[in-house]
Amino acid sequence: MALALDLGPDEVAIQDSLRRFCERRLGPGSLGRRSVSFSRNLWLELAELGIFDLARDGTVARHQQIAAALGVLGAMGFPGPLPQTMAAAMALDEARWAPIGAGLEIVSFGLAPIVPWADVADLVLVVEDGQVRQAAADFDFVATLGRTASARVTPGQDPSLGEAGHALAVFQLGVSAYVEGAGRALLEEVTDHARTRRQFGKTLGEFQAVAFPLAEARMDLDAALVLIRAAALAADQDQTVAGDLILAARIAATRAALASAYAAHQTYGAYGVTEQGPVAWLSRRIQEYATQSPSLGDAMAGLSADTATSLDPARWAS
Amino acid sequence: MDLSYSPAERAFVAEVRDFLAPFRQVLQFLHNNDYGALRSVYQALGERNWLALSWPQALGGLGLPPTFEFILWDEMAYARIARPPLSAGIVAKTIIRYGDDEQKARWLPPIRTGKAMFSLGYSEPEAGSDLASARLVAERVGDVYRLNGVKIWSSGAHEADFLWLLCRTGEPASRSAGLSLVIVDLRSPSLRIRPMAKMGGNVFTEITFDNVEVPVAQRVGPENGAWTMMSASLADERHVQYPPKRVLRDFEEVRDWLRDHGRGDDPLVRHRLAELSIEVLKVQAHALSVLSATLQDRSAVVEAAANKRAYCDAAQRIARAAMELGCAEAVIEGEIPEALWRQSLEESIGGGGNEIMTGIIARQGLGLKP
Repeated sequence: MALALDLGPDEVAIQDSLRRFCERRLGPGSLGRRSVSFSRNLWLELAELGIFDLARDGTVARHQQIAAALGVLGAMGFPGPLPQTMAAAMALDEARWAPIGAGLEIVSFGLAPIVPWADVADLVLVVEDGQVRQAAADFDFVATLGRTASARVTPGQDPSLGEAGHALAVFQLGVSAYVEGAGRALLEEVTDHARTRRQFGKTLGEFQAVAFPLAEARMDLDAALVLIRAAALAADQDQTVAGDLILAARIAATRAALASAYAAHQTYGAYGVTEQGPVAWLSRRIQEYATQSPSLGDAMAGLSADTATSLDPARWAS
Repeated sequence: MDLSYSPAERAFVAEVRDFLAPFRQVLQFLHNNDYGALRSVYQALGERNWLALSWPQALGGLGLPPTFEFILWDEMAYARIARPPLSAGIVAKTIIRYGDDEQKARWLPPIRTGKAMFSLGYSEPEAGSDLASARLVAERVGDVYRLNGVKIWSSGAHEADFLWLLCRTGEPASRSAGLSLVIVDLRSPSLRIRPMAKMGGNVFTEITFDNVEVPVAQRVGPENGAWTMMSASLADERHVQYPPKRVLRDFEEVRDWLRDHGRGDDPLVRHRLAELSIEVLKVQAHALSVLSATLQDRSAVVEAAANKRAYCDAAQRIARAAMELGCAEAVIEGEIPEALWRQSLEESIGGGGNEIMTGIIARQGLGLKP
């Protein structure tokens, strides 16, 4: 087989299916989607598509399909603990996972003290000292930038549910895919605006000062997408480079999505900083996920000395 | 999706590394100024027919997929030995696509064996990035073109054998519709070459044509048909032009230099190196996108522009970080930070500057018209 970066047919089918679902249930345009908040009914419908089975097919996680799915859900701004649920699937036993995988119960996952979506979750898992634990039952809602129904949590006293390594890796991969999708959606939206909005007698996109930041964001999103897909493939194939690539994907995707969001704010001008405008709702979520623990600094510190060579096909086992 | 080399490609990586071993002291990738050493490398490649890896077998090539060329020039870049020669790339691939049988018989064998070296004659004093405004006139007089004008910023023309010349055969205002490509013998009388040292250590040249005569038979492709051919030949070479392992090597040398100068344990240095390792990976990601598109015979215009821009950004960020994080020794001539700082400046200017590349992404990737 020749070197190729395209998605396989399974991933394409998942993306098509999710895109159709989101357009039907959230609306075709971002202005409609931005007002859709988390709902258990919507979550249940999503689960019925089999999305959470991707994270848990027996004992095997299908990382490429998780990344493909979360990319589309990020682009659609689908609300809810998506990367968190995929991560939790790595930590829970079958009995505890079953209602969550079916969409009947909600789980969130993260590092203390702030865990997004904890306030709507039936179960909150936190990582402490490399172990996954159930959070203490009494936690407080906190309003956050990304409006993610977050809560301030602490680890509970129950025994550990196991090592956090794989769950954290899936979490980082999921966050990467979600924010890359969100960043790309913002870029597409603002590019349409730059092609049509006229000022000083020409379209905004005819000004290099407008076009170039958008082009640079596109360039960074494209690199991030390759890194996400490579990280997922490496994880599926159990390549030694998988750990480095997942962290690299998180860093690259986060920065690319932020660059896209900032360019979108700036290009839309005043409308770009209004709450009812097309940027704020996704930009808020991108920044919140960017800041969430493990932080980019943590990811950076976790890179091995060989990270820079991890995309060299010569290092990949056949 | 697949990110590993096939067994044959993997074997080729090992073969290339073995082949490069005796040339590791050549170090011409960055400096490109020891033409004797470069000729010896190209001729050794020619002996293995590796300058014609992807040429059709009927024309003396090996008919291999572009991945093999990518591997060769990526490893060459990592070893800092040499860049792909213009001759076996743009020149040969244009002749293969557009040349007549006589031209193929005359030019391809010496190129394939590494015996004919070419320089590129595109830019002019009034036509830098905007090549459609090139003015050097090729006036047809019987069986020859009479050339008058000036070319500039041509690398290594004072040492090469031939010039791949873009010239105006149409009306002065014909822009891209009035340009042709001809091969000029650089030893032609009435042709003056003036070298200009570059900060990076190699040499630009200015070439003045004063009634230089070139046989019409040395025009490749149709008269006034250069523009299409130039685009096609660029497409043929996108996967080898900006090899990601050049920036990987920059990164590793700077990392090791900082460690050797007592900066390896500084948390600030470690953090910055981690940042730079992501930049290296982004270049590799773009390069693999170009290769993947090329393998599928898809246009890779946007991918190639992004690759070039990312490559230049990474090379410059690595060099500048070395200066910022290093110690006083960083500025000593010949030290890694000093050499990379000087050389990386030119990367974002030659071969289509950063502004051109970003414009391509904006226009062709996003549909904007900056």
